[in-house]
Amino acid sequence: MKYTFLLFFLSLAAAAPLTAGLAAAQEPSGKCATDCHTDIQAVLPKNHMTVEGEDNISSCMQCHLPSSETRRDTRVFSAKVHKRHFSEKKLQCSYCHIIEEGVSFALPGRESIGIPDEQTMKFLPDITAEWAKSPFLAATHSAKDVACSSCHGNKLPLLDDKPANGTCFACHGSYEQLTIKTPGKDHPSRNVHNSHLGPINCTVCHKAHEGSINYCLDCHKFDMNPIPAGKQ
Amino acid sequence: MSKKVARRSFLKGAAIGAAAIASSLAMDLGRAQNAGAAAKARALPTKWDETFDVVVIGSGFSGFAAGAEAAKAGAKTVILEKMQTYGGNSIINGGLYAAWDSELHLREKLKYGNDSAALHTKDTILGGDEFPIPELAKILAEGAPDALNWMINEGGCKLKPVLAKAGGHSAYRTHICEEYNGRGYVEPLHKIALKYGCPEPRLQTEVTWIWRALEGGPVLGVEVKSGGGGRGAGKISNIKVNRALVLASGGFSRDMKMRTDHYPYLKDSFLSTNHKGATGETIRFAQNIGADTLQMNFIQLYPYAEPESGILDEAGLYPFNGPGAGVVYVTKNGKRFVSEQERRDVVSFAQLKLGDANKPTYSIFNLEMLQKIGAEKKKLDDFVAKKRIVVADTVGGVADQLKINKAALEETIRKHNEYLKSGKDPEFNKPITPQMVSLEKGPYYGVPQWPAVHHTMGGLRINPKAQVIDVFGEVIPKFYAAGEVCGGVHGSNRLGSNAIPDAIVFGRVAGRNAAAEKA
Repeated sequence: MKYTFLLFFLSLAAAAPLTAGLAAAQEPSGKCATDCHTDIQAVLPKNHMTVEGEDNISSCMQCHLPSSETRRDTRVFSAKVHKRHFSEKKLQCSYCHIIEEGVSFALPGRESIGIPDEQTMKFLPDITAEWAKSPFLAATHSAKDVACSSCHGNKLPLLDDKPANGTCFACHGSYEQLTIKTPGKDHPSRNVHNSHLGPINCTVCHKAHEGSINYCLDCHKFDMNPIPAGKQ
Repeated sequence: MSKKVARRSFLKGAAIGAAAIASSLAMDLGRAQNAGAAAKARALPTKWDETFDVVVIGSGFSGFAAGAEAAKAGAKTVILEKMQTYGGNSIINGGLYAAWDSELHLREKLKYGNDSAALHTKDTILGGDEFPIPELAKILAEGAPDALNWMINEGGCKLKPVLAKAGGHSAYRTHICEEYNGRGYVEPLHKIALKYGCPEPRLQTEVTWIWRALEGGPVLGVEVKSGGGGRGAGKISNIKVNRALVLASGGFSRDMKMRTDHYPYLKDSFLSTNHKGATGETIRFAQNIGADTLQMNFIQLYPYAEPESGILDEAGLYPFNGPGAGVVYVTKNGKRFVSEQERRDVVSFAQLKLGDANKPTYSIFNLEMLQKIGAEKKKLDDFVAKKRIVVADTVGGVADQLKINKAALEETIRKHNEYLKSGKDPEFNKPITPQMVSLEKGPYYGVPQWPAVHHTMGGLRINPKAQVIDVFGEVIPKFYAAGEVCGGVHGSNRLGSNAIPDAIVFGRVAGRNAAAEKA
C-alpha cells in the first residue's frame, strides 16, 4: 500500500511555525519549498548560511552528511531535520519520504534505505517523536544530534531492531571502561557493568524507546543508583 | 493397531488438559499465548521458515554441551533461548561439580581417600532413595570426569585446588570452579560450542509449540516466537529439524502451576533460587506429543539460600560445601539441629520444622574451614562489607553480631570440637573425618540460611541414549532431552553438585545422538 500525503495532517501541522507557508502537494518531491515551505530560509536557524541553489534536500546534503553510522557528527542531516520536524509536532513519514510498504522507503530521487513492514510503519512516527523529545534514552541521544543511523545503521530500522553491543561501545567504551565509571552505590564491587552474567546485551537494561530497567533487581534486592532514563 | 488407537485417544485427553493449563500459563508468564491453541489439535505448518539439522532448546549446561557435540559431528545446529541472556539457571548455579576423578587428580593430591564411579553411582541412587533409574545415574557418574576434562582442555575451565565432601556424598568429590558459580562451566561450554561451529544462541527466541504428526512418527520441528518486547509483538516462525530436536530447557521451579500441581506444599510463599525463566511450558509441549514424565513431585529445597531473597550466592554455597571441613549449623538458640553431613532434603525439613519464628538458621565457620572449601579472604571481606556474613575474633562475638544465644553457641561449639576429637557425634551421629577442622582459632564467621525451591528432579522420561520415551514406553523418534528437564536421574533428592555433571554428560550424549540421526 502506498502512503499518500493527507490533507488532514497538513491542517494539523499548519499551526506550527515550522510549517508556516505550507503549500499543498500530493507526493513529496524533495523540494521543501514546493512541498511545504514557501520560504525555506525562514525555517532555518537564525545564524544559518543562506541556502544557495535549488531549495531541496540535495542542497542541504552539500554540507550535511545524510546520516552517520559511527560517532555523532553535529552536521548530520537526518538528526537535524528529524528533530526539527518531530520535537514540536509529530509528522507523518510520508511528508518527506516515498514509502511503499513491503517494498521501499526513500527520499525522492534517492535509493531506498530499507523495506518497511506494517508493524514498523505503524509506530515509526511515534518512535521518531520519542527520539526527538521524550523521557527515554533515545531523546538523550537526539539532544546530542545522534541520529537513528548511529545506533541502527544506515538502513530503515525495523521494529525489533536492537543495536549490538559494539555499537554502544563505539561511543561509550567497553564493558571494562564502563566498569570503572560505575562503582556500586552501596558497595563499589557491586558493579552493574561487571556482573556474574558476563557481557550481556546492553539492551537488556538500556532501552532507548521505553523506560530502561535495572535487570539486577529482577532477582536481587540491592540499593542501586538509578539507571539513566529509567522506567518510572 | 490397538496401540495406535489408544495413542490417539491419549492425545485427545492431553489436548483438553493442556487447554486448561494454557490459560493459566499465559497469565503466569504473560507469554506462550499460542498454547491456547491446544484446545484443538493444531494443524502442522504448511511451510517452514528455516531448517536445521539439530535444534537445541535452552542455553544452559545441557544446551551448550548438546550444541557443541552436534556441531562437532557436522550437524547444522542452532540453540534457541527464550530469555534475554543466555545461561538460564546454569549461569547462576553454584559451580559445584561432582566427579570421582579428573585429569587433575585432586583427591589423590590432597590425600582425601578413595572414590570410584561405582561409589558415586551408589551415593546418587541412595541419596535419591532408590528412585533414580540406575542406568542413568551410572551414566552421570561415569561420564563426569571426562566431561570435566573436556571443559578444562577445550574450554579453559579452571578449578580451585580444593575438594569438598558435600551433603549426601560419601567421598570428597565436589569440585569448585575458580568463579565459584556456574559461569565457570557455561563459558567453557559456550567457547567449545562456538569452536565447533555452533552459532551464538538466539536470544529471546521462545519455543511455543513442538510439532509432531498426530498419528505419531518423528518430531518435525518447533514453532518459535522471536523478538518482541516494547511495542514489538514478536515474530512467529516455524523451524524444521532434519536430524533431531534436543530439549535442554531446564526445570520448572518458577512455574507455580506445575510446581503446586505436583507438590501443593511448595506454594508461592516459598522463595526460589531459580531464574524467572524456569517454567514448564516445554514439558507441556512434550507431553502434548506423547512424552512420558516421571517423579514430577520430587522438588528440591536448597537449605542454605539467602533468607530474604532466596538467592543462592557464593556465601550461600559455603554452608553446603562446609560439612566436610567441619561447619556447624545452629538455630537462633545456638543449638545444632541436624547432622551437617545430611542430604539437602533432610537439612531443609529440619529447618522448616523449626517454624518461621526460627527463621533463619546459621552456619558457623572459621577462616581455615572456609579456605579449605575455596573461599578467598578478599571475597569474605567483601561479603562482610555487604553484611551478607558476619565476622568476629571469638565465637561469642559471632553470636553477638548474629543476635543469637551466646552462651548456648559457645557451649555447642565446645561440644562439637570434642566430637571431632573423639570421632563421634552422639547428638546427630554425623560421620566425622580427619579433614574436619575444630573451631578453636578465629576469625570466626556466621552465615544465615533458609530453604528455597531449587531443583525439579522430575521431568521427561529418557533412555540412556537421552531419547525421550512416550507414555507407551516407546522412543519418540528424533526427540532428545537432557538436564533438569528430564526426570529419573536423581530420584527423590538430588545430591548437591550432581546437577552440573548430569546436565553436561547427558547434553553431550543427546548432542552426539541427535547429530547421528538420519536427515
